[in-house]
Amino acid sequence: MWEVYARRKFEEPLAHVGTVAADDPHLATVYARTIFNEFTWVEMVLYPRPSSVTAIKT
Amino acid sequence: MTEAAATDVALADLVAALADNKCFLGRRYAEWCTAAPTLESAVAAAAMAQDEIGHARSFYPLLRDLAGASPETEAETRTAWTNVPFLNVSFRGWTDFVAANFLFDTSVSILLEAATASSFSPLAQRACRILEEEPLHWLHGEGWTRRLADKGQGVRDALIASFGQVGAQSLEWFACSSTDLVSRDVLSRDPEELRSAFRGRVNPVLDAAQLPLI
Repeated sequence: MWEVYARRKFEEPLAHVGTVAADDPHLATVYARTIFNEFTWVEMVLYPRPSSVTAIKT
Repeated sequence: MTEAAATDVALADLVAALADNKCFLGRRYAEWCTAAPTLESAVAAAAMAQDEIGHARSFYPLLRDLAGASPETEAETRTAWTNVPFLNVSFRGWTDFVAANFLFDTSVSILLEAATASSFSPLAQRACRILEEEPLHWLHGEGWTRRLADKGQGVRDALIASFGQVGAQSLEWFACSSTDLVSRDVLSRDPEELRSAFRGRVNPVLDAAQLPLI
């Protein structure tokens, strides 16, 4: 699972836009770009969920 | 037939081949918009179908300019299709989709790369524009090739069968280039050079996945 972040303007922060399921970064890139194509993004980045660090857990 | 007239015919045939193959590739991709193995790949199939049909739509007006307006130069009324045979029927399974995506789509891109500096500027303009969208198609085809090659012998066998058929027709399709088109700088590579470039692109992926080379 990959967390997808994107922004529409360089002066805006990256915002979480959703997730995609893929085995590797290549397919994750294709899926993210085709699923979250509602805007003309200036930047989109993907993070593998297993690399996340839990700061708070309730 | 004069040399110039022969070139015009070869050029019209080339544009027709590009238009028809893009059109049918888009149609076959579209059939998997609701049938792909995952939701993500279904959306990708829909996006690639839209891309391919859009590319086809850019070539038919060019065909009309070259061959003259007739029902045969309109996508809606055309009957003398020149696409590769495997696109005449629906894909038998997802491995056929991946073979078309990874091999045939790439072969069309290899040919378009040979047209980016074409002496026929309308073709060069379209080639440059289309090639901006194709890297995403390559990523999808390459990713699924590696993924399926690692999914057990049954899947590998199906993949090898699909790649065998599509690979052979992709190599054969490069015959739409010709010495005449190359000598007039319409294309920068003849069929053998295109085949060599195609093998150089796809075979490293096939080799890494321990699949038969093209």
